[in-house]
Amino acid sequence: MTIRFTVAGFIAVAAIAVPAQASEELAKKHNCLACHTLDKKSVGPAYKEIAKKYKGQAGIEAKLAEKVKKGGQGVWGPVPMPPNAAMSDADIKTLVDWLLKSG
Amino acid sequence: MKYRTASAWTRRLAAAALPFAVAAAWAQPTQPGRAPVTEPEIRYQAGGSPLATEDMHQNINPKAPPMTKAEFDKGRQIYFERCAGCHGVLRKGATGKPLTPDITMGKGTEILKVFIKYGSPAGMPNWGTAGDLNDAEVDLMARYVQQEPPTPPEFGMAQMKGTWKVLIAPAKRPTKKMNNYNIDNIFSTTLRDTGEVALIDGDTKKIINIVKTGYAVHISRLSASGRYLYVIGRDAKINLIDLWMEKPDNVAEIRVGLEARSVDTSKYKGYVDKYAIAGSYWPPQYTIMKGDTLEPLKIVATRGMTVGDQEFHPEPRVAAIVASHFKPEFVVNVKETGKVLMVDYSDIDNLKTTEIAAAKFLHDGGWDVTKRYFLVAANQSNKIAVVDAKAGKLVKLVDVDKIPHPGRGANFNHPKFGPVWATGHLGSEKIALIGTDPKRKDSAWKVVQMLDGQGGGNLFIKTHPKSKNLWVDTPLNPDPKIAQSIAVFDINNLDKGFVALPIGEWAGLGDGAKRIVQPEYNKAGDEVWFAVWSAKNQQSALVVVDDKTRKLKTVIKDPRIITPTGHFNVYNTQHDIY
Repeated sequence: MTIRFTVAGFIAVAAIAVPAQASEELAKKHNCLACHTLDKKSVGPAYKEIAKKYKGQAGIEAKLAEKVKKGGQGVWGPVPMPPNAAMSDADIKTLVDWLLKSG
Repeated sequence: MKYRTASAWTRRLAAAALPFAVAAAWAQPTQPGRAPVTEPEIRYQAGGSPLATEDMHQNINPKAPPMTKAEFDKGRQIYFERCAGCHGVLRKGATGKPLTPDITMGKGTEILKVFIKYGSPAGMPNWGTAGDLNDAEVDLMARYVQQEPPTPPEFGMAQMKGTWKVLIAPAKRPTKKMNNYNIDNIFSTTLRDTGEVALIDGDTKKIINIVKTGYAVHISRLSASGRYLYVIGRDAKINLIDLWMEKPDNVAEIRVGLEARSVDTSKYKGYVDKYAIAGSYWPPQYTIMKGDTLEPLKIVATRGMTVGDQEFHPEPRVAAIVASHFKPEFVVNVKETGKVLMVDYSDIDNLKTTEIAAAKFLHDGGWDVTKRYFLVAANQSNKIAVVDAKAGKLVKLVDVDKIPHPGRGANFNHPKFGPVWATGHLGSEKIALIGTDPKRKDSAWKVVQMLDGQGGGNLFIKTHPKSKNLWVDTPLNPDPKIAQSIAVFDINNLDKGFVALPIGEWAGLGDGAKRIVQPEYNKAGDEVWFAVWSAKNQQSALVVVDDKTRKLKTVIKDPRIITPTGHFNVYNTQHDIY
């Protein structure tokens, strides 16, 4: 019985974590890649840099999700991040989780 | 990032910038091989277009953010002053990325504002933080580029005839030279911001006449006989000047479009002074005219398919045009489609054209020393295309450095490699020497040597058959010290590097930004003339240097010499000596 649950749990985790490819597609869909790339500074910081900076910080997922939603400015330089009010919370969560894993 | 530091002033001067211009937009270089754009390129490309003042129809797209007619007109004006040079009239993209509504509406106003205000590492200038556009204008432009691109009016035979004036009919002109000027040594000097050219006597250094022309005359060209001088402004106005008159002046004028860069004349025997040709940026077309009156005879559109991917392009601008010495042909370089058109003018009613596929974004170029081979920059692919005008074939695409800008280039005998043709670059300090003797298999159509100049931002390079000097300007370099001096190489000791001459200081104009533009030889080949180009409200000058001693010979100053840029010696231009 216990074994069974664990396997099911693994599958559930995998379902969220696996589609790195899909998340890049998602980032593209929401125009994130107009300013960000995975590993090089462009108009905005590289995702790997963001991951490096915040990895392991408590509650960072929620903080970054709010940044995506409401926009921000000043952490990485003067160029602001525009707000993305129209993005669904689920998409934002997927993207934040994906980018934190990219570091 | 050097180009971030340019002051609002230098940018404005750039918006006043020179002729054929190059920059990019979205952050990622999606086009393969496209490196970020340098400051000199931006200065070069982001020049104003005369289309800014044209009224155009506003198509309402209900999905685009709303704009009033007044907002749209203001956006259109800013677009043509700042953006069209790189992104194109119809926003299909050129040096800059395409900005058609399918793309821009997908990005949305907020993202577009970030790019317009802060620029991008791929080369989009930071219009907001550089102080050129305020936040309201940035917002306006972000909305403007989501609208349908308005199309400027066409310009056909009726419009041309409406602007065509013969001021002095050929029958009423002199039948022989009526003045004592040494016509061969006259310099036609563009006075950029006043819409004039100064005709300067190269022997006495005195101004012969200041002739009213179009705005920012791009080039001066001579008829095959040397009697007629043709100048073309950025506003596509051509003036025909008769050098035989007691006081040389305009005898005819015409507009061949709304924006243009190039003009030349029939040079083949039997066609002396018979035809002139002009290429325009908008509408994308070239026009063949009668040589002595500018009467428009034939207009040919250049819209069509690009080389390589063979996609339709709605606005392939006509860049450099030269006239073949081997055939009754004009060599017409079409920028966006990347084609060299050999236009046979022996029968213009049944026009035959050989279309040579070169590479995209053809720009400027010149003949090799034999005048059989034409070398033209394909400046976004960092190549020089070599065309055999006798065979009507592409010979070779030669890889050079970043954004070659030869002007017409410079021909000389290299001590080791024989005849070479040289080009400088907008995007780097390199000077590429290309072997031009087809018999030398090891050096023909190859870069035989790369020299290091003062820096990027080079526009013109020059030598003369009688000289051992190679002069290289850098007017668009962001460092004022480099922009105000000239590098000179000894052709017999190229490895020794250059000597920098402070031409700006020699002009003795005091402080103030000035750029040194275009080395140009006199007829004898023993003097080199430079324009010292200051802002419109400041004093400018022409500096004449002794070619042998490399010492200052004289400075030509006159309150009428305002914003001098290009200057062309009659004899050297007539005979394609460079």
